[in-house]
Amino acid sequence: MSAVSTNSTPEILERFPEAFEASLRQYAESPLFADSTAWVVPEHPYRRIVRPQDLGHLDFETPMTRQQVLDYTSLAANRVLLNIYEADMLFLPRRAPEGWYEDFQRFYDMDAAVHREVVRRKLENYLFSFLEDEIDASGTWSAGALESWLIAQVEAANSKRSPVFDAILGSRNPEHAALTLMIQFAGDFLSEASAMARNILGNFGPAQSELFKIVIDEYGYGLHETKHSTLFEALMESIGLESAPHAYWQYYLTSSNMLNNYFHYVSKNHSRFFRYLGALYYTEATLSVYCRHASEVLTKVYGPRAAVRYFDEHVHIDQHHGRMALDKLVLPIVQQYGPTVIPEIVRGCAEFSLLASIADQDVIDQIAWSDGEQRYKQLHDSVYRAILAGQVRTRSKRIALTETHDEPTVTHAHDWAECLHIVSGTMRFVTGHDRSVLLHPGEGTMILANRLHGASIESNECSFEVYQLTGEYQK
Amino acid sequence: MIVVAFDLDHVNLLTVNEERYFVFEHQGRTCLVSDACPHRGGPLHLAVRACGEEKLICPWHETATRERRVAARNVPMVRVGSSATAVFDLPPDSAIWKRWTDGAVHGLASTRPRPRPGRAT
Repeated sequence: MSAVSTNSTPEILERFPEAFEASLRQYAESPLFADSTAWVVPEHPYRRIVRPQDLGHLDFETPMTRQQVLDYTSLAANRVLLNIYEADMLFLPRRAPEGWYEDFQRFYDMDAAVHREVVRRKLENYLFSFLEDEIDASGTWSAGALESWLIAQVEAANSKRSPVFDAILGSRNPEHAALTLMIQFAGDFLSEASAMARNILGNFGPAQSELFKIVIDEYGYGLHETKHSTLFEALMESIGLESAPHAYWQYYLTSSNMLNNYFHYVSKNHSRFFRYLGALYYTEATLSVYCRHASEVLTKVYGPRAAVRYFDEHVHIDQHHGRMALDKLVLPIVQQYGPTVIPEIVRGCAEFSLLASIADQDVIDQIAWSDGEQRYKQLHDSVYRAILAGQVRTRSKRIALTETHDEPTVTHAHDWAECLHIVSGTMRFVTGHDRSVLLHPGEGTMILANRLHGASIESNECSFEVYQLTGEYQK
Repeated sequence: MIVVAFDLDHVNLLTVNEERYFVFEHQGRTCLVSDACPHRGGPLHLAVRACGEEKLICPWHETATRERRVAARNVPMVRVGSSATAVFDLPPDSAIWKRWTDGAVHGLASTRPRPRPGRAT
């Protein structure tokens, strides 16, 4: 009854480890993925920063652990991997801004396709192998046991409101907190069901047609105004956000990219199809209740201007999708193919549930991080004094840097806490879309481990110091 | 069917309608298996591992049972981190009792680190 692990480094990459490094370098060095001074990019769906200058210094060889899920290497790997997966999808800009056609050609470049395949396999192994250790499905399963277990997981999830909504309502700035969550959704919802659609080609009997019915709903029955992504665009616009895919690429948290990537991961390679079914059931069966809470919270925060039809539609249709996924897909598949496929179905449900809970906490922590920007600015003063007095341990000696107005520090995260101190010039320290704090000479801020942030230089030049902390300040 | 959730850091023995099951690490996988020795129903969670062999020695009659056979008498279970859910083909009003025991098998066979201080291993 053991689930077959499909995670391992392919033999060809073990024999030629330099192939991965060369492919990653060549793929990531595309101008599409270079640093940019634009924080929001609504016109160019192919321009998605990956900080290529960092990639050669990161170790993707040893798969990350559960404790490393939000580390910077994970963020970097997830950004690259999402670009790779989405090269299988078609994105076109809404208008034709200058240079779009060159971007289009680069994003779908056939030579780059070879590099994408080499890189994808390794990054999947790096990012998702920890799930094999974190989750076990053991025992002798029957269809009845599977059904009971799946329903219990969904009932447990649906019995309480996601803590993300409590974090939004309890935020110092609920509108910004809600906006942060919508931006996280945007990475997936604006191309909704694209990963799902990977599973509908081929020939696999009645289940194929049942899955197609769900896809039809997601795609609005061919009516563009009812397509789910169109409804989400309307929601984004109603709360003052850009609605173009990946306009807010820089603000996706590590876990948001990972959730998005997960569905591609289990759908790109069809050996994981049964795992996909478990994940599909869990998401469809829990989304109805989740969307009811989302609709209520958004309406409370933004009032009637929030176009919550996207969520209201899911409150309704996902009651059907949850039932359809179980009764028309999962259980008939088990009946047809027997208990061999059950551990993978169980694994898919458990894996997605785990990743969703990680993502919830990541958003909660980011909301608190943005809310606390003034507090962390003040905290800098005492920590900086303590560092100079030798009362705080640091990982390395002072790192002194000077950056200029035209050098953007695009969003990233650190695996440890840092104390940032401005020596001269002015820096705008960014903790989220439309959320930043100005730092002048003598000022600074604490940067928490794993929290997404970036910076722009407001003066011609800015000199600053960075201290990487250990011990009690490490996280 | 009933689904029972428990924390592997605090529970390694379940009694369900007077049938006992214990958490057993077998070939790197966490299983929930019947506690009754196939010989006369002795408590396998108190067994010891036969030296150099993949067998458990029941404390009642010192009967050796292959670990593979013990692991095969299992209940469907899913572990996520230290959280577990197991499925029993029993009515919803079944009596369930969860507890921790410092059983010898657990200590010898387990490959999972147990953070609970002063317990097992």
